[in-house]
Amino acid sequence: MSKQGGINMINRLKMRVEGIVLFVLILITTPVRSQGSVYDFSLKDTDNQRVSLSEIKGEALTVIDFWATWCQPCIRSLPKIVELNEAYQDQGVGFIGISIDSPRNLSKVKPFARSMGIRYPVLLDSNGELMGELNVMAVPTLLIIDSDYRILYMHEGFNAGEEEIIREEIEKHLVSSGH
Amino acid sequence: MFAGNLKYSVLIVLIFMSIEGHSQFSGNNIMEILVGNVPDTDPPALVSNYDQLNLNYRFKGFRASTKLEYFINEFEERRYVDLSQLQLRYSTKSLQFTAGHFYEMLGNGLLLRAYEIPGTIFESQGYRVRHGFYRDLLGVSGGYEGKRFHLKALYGKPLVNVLPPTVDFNERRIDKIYAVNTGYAVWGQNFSINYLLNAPSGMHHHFGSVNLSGNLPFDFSYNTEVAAEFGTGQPLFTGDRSTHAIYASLAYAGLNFGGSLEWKDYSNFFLGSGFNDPPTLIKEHSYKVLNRSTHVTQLTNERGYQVEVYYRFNAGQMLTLNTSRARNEFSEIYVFNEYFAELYAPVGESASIKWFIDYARDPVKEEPNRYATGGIYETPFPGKWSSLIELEYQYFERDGLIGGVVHNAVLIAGVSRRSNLSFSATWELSTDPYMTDNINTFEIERQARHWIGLDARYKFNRHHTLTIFAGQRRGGPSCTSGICYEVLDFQGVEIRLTSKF
Repeated sequence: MSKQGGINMINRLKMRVEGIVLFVLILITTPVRSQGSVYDFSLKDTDNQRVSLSEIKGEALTVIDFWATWCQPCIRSLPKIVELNEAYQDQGVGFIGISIDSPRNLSKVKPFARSMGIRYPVLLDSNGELMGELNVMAVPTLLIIDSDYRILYMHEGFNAGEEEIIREEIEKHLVSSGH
Repeated sequence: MFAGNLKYSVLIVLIFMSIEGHSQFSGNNIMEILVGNVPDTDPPALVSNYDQLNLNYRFKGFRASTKLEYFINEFEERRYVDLSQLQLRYSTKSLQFTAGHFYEMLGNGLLLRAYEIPGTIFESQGYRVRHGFYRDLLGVSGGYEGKRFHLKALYGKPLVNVLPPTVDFNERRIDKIYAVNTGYAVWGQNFSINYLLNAPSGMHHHFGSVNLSGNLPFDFSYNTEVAAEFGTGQPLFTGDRSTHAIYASLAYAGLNFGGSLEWKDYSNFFLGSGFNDPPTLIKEHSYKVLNRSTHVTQLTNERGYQVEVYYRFNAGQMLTLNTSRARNEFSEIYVFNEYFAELYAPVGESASIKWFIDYARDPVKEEPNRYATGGIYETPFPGKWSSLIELEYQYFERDGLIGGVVHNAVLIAGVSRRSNLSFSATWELSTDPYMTDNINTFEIERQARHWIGLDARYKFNRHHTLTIFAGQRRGGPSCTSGICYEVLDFQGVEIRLTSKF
């Protein structure tokens, strides 16, 4: 191994150790809140307006649904989510759709959403930044959060009939929230 | 030197901050064990272990995140442990500052798009090293975003994402980018301009783009972007040597009817090592036989359009029609055309059926007439179980040296319970000589080749999911989130544990 190669290797090793030390130190010095809450994120909507979660969240619960125009299970789940929105929008439950479509499909998002009957806000997470921060690793993923942004329920994927499971979760958490 | 000092400074700040009040820590881990190999490759039962740990720490407007990857198998030169990403960010409602590894996109991606495809593990035939599939920038960025005005500036070295962490740092990050983006929005119209300088080792390439988008009356919206390299002495937008990219779209979003019309003109616009990603204007398919046949946009020379319309019937059925065209002019002229139709229909309370037909002319792949059809039927049954059956078939005649009639078929049957537990079996067949031929013999083997694989997935709880694959998996091109990459054939057992915390 050349001298330069040796130096590079030592530098890489140092970088790795520093990174690990950084997080260990942060962990041991922090009163950490457990993973399970969403921060007040802001994204652009299909009209290119920046919107924050606090502006559009539901009074009691908020359902956040990650989807994409090319995702097969999303196309099955979206009509069911639209039905749930119609059933619960007057009971303090807000619905937010988040499209993770890349620039390749961005022009399709608005027509697709309207055609699917979506009447609630649709936000764009084209580079997957929010998806990464919220630990969402697949679409569709649906989160139910309470008014303090705590994640109460997470549903990954969508199979036939699973809208009933989501409905049960909304009902259960609506009751416990006092609505 | 700079990065080291920055790390220590921010570490101290973070520790002080975290002593006060609450912060949030989150992360995920993907651990994958493979016992197997590309078929007909030694050793057939190669054991490897890949792990990717992503950690995020947030305190008010501050955020720190990191990605740690390692890969181990019996070949020493393929092993690595890498702190692949480290990011520090501070953001308020209008200000943002980031240092380290980050993702960014300018406009529609004509000049720059850095991205990650979460959960995807990439392995190339050349290196046989597994690593996460992302193209990030290493550098700094900062910006202001008001109600009408925004300004962003960045410096970064983009990652060449097909090269694994075993390759030298300087080879993986050969480009050096400086970019500025600013824009103004008024009356529902958005105007922005971008400037990008790529200055790898003594060279200087200047690019600029103008982006105009907004809403129009009667539920229409539009998006246009014109980008070019300047300072080359070549005429802009004319001739073979012009370096430009033009993208325009018009969309209509009605109540039950919607659609989009897009147009592109790309000329010599593969920038640097490939850090830009203009819209491809080709249908993004999730059906296996169509996904593999996706036309890959040639940024060197491509013009074309894409039209897609949706119609939703009152009974819940949805019809999607798509057509696209791409014209490439090299030593010959190649024109790709695709026509796609899909109908989704609910059946009863919760069952559904989807059916598609597709026809394409693809001279680049020497497939002048390619036909495909297939569908998915999904139905629930008692006990919170549901079943899915998917059948796809593709037929074409290939011209050229390895020509002939090709049949591709896919059959998937699966059951799942509440998205927590699922089992599926996949059978694939192909008579494509590119798949059936043994390169070690002179003859072209054309006997049909079969792949049979079994998948099981169990989600223990909200935090842990185990997936197991056993059998054979067909490789080939795969496209996700607009990014296409090559997946290797595999035969063996794959175990993946995904944890979130």
